[in-house]
Amino acid sequence: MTPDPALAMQTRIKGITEIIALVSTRVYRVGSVPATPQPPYLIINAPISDNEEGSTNTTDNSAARVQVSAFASTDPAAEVISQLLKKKVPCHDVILPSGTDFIRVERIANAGASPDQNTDVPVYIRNRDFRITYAY
Amino acid sequence: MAGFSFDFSALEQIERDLGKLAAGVKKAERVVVMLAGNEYKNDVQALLPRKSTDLIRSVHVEPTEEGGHPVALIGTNKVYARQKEYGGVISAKNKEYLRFKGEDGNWVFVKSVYQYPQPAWRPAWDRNLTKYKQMLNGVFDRNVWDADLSTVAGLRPDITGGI
Repeated sequence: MTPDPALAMQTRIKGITEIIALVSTRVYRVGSVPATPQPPYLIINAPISDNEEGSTNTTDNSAARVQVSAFASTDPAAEVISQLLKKKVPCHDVILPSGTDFIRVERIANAGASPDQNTDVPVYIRNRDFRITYAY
Repeated sequence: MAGFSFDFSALEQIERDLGKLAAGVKKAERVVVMLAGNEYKNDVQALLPRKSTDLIRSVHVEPTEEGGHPVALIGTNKVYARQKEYGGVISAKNKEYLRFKGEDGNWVFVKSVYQYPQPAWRPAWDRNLTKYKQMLNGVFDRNVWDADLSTVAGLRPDITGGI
């Protein structure tokens, strides 16, 4: 199987009630973002890197970096979502869907954030990276 | 004959020798730091979109010093580099709409659009951190590194551009 850590991340985020209370169903993956999405919303980008971390007899292990971008119409709202992501997404030892199969996530860890904005639109963005260490 | 004495001349000799040793270590440190810095620069350039020749050429290494230790700063002065790395929203400034061809081949007119990230700096770091550590420790062997990479490419073609 081809593991899909971005899908695992999307499933993880959709399972967090505090985040869904703010963005509702608007947790998009690259390629499925509507032309004019309604803020606040999240975009889960394709894995930035996915490094092989060795194998055992039964599993392969890998570590991927996934960027999750939070969009909101005000800067404080974007910050609230970003902080929620930082607090709620990291986890240990969970099974998450990945394509037609599942991956065993050993760890999801926060890997830093950076702010961005476009006042012409206006939209405020927080880009946050997560490191997903998984076996499949 | 004095019952007890210091030999200051020998202490001065030791101080001089230690100074020479420290200078040698610092010189060697500067070489490996610049070597690793240049390697990172090359890795970033290799991952940047081929169309961005200006951006590729602009990536450079600046030697500096922090706390008495040599440091290599790798960066670019291009302001759009950040947008490429993290993505972002671009909007029409001089015209009413942005115009581009959509995935279906038809023209799309919008006031703003999310530009997906095309990262190069973070993946270069993630993929090659072990290499840079080996360089800084003076134990890097490019033949071994390349052999390891081709082994991984055989195991996981999906993460090495094989499929």
